Amino acid sequence: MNAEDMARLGIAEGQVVRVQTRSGEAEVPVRAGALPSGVVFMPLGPAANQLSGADTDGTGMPLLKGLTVVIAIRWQQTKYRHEGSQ
Amino acid sequence: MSTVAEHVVCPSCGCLCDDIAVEVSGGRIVQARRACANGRSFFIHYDSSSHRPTIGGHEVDWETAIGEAGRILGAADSPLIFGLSSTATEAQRKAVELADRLGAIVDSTSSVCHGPAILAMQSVGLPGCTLGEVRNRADLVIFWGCNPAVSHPRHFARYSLPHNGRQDRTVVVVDVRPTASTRVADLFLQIQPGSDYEVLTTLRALVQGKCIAAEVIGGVPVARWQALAARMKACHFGVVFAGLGLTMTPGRDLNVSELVMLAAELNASTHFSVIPMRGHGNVAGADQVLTWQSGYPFAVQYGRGYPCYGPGEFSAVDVLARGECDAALIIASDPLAHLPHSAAQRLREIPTIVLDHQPTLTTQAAQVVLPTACYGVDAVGTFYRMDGVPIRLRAVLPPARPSDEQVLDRLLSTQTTNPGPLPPPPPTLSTAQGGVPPKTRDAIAILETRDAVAGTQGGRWRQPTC
Repeated sequence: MNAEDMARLGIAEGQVVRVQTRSGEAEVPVRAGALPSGVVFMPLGPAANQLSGADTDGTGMPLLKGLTVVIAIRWQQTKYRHEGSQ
Repeated sequence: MSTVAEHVVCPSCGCLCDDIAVEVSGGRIVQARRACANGRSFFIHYDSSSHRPTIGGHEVDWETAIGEAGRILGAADSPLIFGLSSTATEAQRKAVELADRLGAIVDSTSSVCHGPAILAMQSVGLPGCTLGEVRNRADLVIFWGCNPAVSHPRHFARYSLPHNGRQDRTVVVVDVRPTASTRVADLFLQIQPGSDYEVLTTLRALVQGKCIAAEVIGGVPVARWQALAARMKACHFGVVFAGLGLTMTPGRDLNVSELVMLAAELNASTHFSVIPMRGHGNVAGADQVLTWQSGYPFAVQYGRGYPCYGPGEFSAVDVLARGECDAALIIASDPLAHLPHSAAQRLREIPTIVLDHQPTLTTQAAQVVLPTACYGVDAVGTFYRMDGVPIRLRAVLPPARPSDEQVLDRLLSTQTTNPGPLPPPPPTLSTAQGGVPPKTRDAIAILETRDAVAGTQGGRWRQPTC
């Protein structure tokens, strides 16, 4: 996650947050990374799979990148875009 | 005492580096020189010991395991065969034959990586080239939506950085975030997530000499896109490596179509190619085998007695998420680690058979696990590199387990009955009794079907007037 975003939202390094999409949610620890503001990154795997839906729009490919996610931090909620990895 | 095998092919990614020196000592691989971190880990951590198959987590002999796997597949109404990306073409061919015999759905991991790129190729073609041509001729290399420094670490060293091959090469990376690959690029263009289609359309317009009214596209000033378009037109040999940043984001195949059409249009003034950055070692081979066996590259269903193509209908994620398969045979892949949770959940609910050379999340949940040998380590087979070049893999260790091909051959022998084609047509009068010959009857049936379809759309088929 962008370090300035973390500071603005009061998220500490290693703090566990809840990431939500329309398809599911996952709780993951946060690390600061070289990312643009408003973009978060998650490596593909069981946690990220909880966030992706199975709708492939007739292509066979679910959207595994570019998802809009909500990050829940205790009582706050902020909209972010999720960018997965290959 | 140790032995060293030279010029070994590393099967861990689509680069298929064929210059690895593998040192074997005491029946284990102890060193893999010239391999990247991924390849070295692949070779050195390979466990070649003779594992036994399991049913429900309990070890059994091979006869029992094959029999149970055959029973599960034979009893299923709509089995799914999925994976195929890290196995050899010889095994892939057997898997397709098994799908044909079972009337199963067969799909490779292409559908969840570069399936949209394949759809784009089917739509607009692909100006391609080999990695050897890239190494020796390319003076402009663009990586779009990929991070080869992590996914294909030796791609730079072997094919795409200036210190190998041409010295006058320019490397451009287009991505939504800085990565290890952007640090070695001459030019990094950081675009907004989801803006690939817009940016590619802009580049096509600029290459065609059109004016762009907007000042910023995809978060990047248009002047920088104009500079890139000019550089693309001026190069002697350009190539774009298309990554999953194009296929896994909104737009999917349309993103790749725009990229391919951009390259095709550049070929009016220079030489430009597109190569999809294929991830798994032989995922490109799965496309090849399925295409030459069935006519279609992925998402093929044999339930009607002949191959039917249906991305979005017969692709693994769709079939699993809709609960349209009642058993699965997973070959050399780990769908539980990579598929969306609703598809993975279905896979946990149905009886699953897994062929793999290593424990995975999917083997942990499988009903039957058939531990096989690994191609390129203790089995011989053919893989296709990301640019479509077939490469023969040899074994550096003696086999302690059967290969995927051998196990699939055994599974085929358990399925002696073919569900066959569609039910026969109802009996009709013979020609002598006033009936019509079969071919004529089929033609009439087709015309009647067309009439029915046209009728629903408010029109009818007419005889040609000429």
